[in-house]
Amino acid sequence: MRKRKSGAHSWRWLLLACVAQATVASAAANEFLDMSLEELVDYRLMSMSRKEQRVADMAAAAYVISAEEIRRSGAQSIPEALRLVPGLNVAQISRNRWAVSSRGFNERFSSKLLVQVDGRSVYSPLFSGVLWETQDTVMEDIERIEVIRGPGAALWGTNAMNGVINIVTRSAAASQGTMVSTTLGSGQLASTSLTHGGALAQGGHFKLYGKASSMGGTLERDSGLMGVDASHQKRLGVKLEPQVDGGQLSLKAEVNQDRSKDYWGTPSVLAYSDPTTPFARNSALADVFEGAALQARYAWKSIDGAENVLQASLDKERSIHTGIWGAGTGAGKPLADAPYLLQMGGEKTDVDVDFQQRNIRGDHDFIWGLNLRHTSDNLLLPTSPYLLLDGKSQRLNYSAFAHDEVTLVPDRFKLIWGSKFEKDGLTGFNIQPNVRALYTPGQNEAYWGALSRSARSSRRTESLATLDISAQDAANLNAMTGLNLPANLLTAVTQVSPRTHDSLQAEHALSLEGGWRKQFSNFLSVDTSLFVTDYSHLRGARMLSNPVSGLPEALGCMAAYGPGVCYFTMAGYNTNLDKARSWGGEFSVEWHPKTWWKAQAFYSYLRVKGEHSGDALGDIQVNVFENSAPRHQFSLQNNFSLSNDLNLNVRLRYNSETAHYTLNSQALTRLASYTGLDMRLAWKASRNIELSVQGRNLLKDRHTEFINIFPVTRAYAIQRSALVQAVVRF
Amino acid sequence: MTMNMHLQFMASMRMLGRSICGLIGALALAVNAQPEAQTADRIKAAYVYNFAKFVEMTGADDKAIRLCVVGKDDLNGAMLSLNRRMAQGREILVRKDVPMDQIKDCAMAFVGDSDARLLSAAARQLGNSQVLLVSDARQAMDLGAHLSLVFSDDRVEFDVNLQNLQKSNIKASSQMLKLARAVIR
Repeated sequence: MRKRKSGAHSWRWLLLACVAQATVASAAANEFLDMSLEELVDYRLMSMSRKEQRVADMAAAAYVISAEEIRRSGAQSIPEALRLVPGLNVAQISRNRWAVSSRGFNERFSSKLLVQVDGRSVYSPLFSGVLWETQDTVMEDIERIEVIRGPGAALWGTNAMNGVINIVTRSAAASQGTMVSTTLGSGQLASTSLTHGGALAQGGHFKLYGKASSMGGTLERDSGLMGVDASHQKRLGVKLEPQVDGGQLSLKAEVNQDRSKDYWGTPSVLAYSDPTTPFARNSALADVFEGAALQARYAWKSIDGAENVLQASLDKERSIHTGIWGAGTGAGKPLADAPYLLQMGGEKTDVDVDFQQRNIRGDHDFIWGLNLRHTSDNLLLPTSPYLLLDGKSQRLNYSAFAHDEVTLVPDRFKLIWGSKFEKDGLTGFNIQPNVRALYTPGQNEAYWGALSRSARSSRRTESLATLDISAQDAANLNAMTGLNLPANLLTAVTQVSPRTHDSLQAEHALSLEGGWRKQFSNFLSVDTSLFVTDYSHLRGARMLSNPVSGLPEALGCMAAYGPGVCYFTMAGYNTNLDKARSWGGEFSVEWHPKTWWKAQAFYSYLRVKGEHSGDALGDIQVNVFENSAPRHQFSLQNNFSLSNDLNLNVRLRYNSETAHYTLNSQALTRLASYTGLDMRLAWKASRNIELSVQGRNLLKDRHTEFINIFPVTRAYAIQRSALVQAVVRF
Repeated sequence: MTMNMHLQFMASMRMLGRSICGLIGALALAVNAQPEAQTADRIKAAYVYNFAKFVEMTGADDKAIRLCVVGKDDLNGAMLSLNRRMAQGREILVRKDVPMDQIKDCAMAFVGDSDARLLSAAARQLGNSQVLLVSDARQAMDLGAHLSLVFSDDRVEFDVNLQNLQKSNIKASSQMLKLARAVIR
């Protein structure tokens, strides 16, 4: 009886199954069905292209660092974690200051890289870059870091010229319970992080997080003495994810403070120069950086199936540098005041509203979006080397983008095209289109290619400042100009002004990229990419044709006051004339020879060649970007799960030489190539406790990775170091 | 003998069924442009498929594993990709929008996040019967599901309510419990 009932049921089921089958026939097959439970648990999605996507399906040089990789590497800061990304240029300047860039043009404020934390840009429009020392996040709270090398401007807009980094922190729902992490290390390193997550009474989750850290200084490269770059950071935040009907709401609030000291080099007349550095004065500065951000994000699905995301944020930052500065070299100022106590810096407030909608219709996966950003800032630049007449400014940026992914041959060939249309408050209207193609001959293999045009807007200080970039003995000038000025008695100062009759343009780049990635098995995969980028309208400077001004005044001054305190100027102006080409590639391989052994290696090559105009001032800029990033980078990382509770991570990394300007030298200072060895041994003492010990830069006592030119700071030596860390969860 | 005939009958029915399926399928293909399910949805469906493989469903006497979707949320069609798949030597048959009073006849029931309001009603309806109740609704564990799918950040994980599983006399493999994000004991 029971059987017959089943038989009758089967009929109905079969018919229903037909309908189901027919529906599914038009949809793409589900490639995940053949994955085991273990594989599914480990499987990670990427949100980089403004939607979730497998890295393997991206038509870009994409890379994801997982929370697990960050933990195993023992990275104590985001730039350290970014060293894991093949081909990214990461250089430590001093204890907590970093230069990070993608595909060259590396500097402390890398202007051509966009960095976001949970979808909020932390790119500072004040400096046109990221102050990495202020991004001291709870490392255990990072869920993943997504990186695109190459242009992402068609989706992310101006400044995503050479790369996009998206740091994603854990959701409140995934951070339930309490985590405390404490680190102690050489060089007076002490750091404590805490996260605590729980359920909200009305449904949903919350998370509190905080971090306080302090570290001593590093040695100065030239003197070998302890530097002043010790720093103290604090961060406190809350994330709320209340349960709402029909969508997902997430709120985040965060405050942070970073205190540190630094030496900035400023050009100076001989009388006020430091004894060891004629024509330059090192000003000791106390830096305070404070930031506060509020962020809300709501994602919902329309009835027609469209996915919508609305995000709004309010972002305030304030950075003040206090110290005794050399003064008086600005245009129209009295000649050579003695240095006195001054403050410089600025504050800014950003309000950003972003909406995007995704529609999938047939073969088209279409995303469009709108963005409105209002920035108001107040710069405080009282004196040389950066003189600003009006510090206050307000700008409105608005933009729209459209992005269509068209499946031309199901499971084989996709064409992706789209563009960003952006009105930028400083540099006007920019169109940033791209077209990409993805060919997937099999599920585990992909070829991609892309052609993109992108733009970078100028930094505030670039567009408005008068910049004294160097001071020198007039004798140098005599040789160059044929003048006969009293050597050692008069100082020559190069002064760069904005050229008011030329409107400043955005920098442009046209980039051609291609790549191939293949997963040969669960144990071996490779990823390769090649690129060539042509830059135009690069920000630079030129000397004016009649370069010497104020000479009679300078000679008069010298007669009255004697030698050393008087100067004349060599005038130059800002331009958007420089051109450059960069090319190179990245190759990485991941190998899992045993379940307990994972090896990752990468090699990257990079060349940047600028067009040398022959202009003394112009060529300085070109020399800077040609030499700031290493030509060759190599890394080999091995991870050994020695037993269930012991993990050993060993990482060897090689960077070829770089060259940088310092204030005191007219020639580039070469920094030798270096090889770093980092090791970390972790012991999972119990389910909730992990203890680890790690060593960094073990091969060499000290080495220098980078010397910064904007602003000119002292060169520091990165030392061998060790630290211990305990992470407790309950 | 009777048994044998029954099997033959079933086999021919199934063949007939397949050809009808083909016909309907061709018709449907012409008019239907179902949007491709999101990656996360496809992963969730793959989890459900794995559950069908690793959860012992002793109560089901039917040859097929009936997978009932309660409500209209079938993960944008991703659940339907499980149809006709084999698990534990049995075929999975997926049915959508199954009325509440019929879910006791299913081997597995799924309630999607958009139909989360149906979840506690489904749990009540099932009581302690041996039907595996899976959901990707938020707080599915509290609303009575046996297994819940959790999409957090960049991956999909699952939680297990072992208490409810034991009450319903459903056995989950220890391997599966090990891989769960959280197990409520």
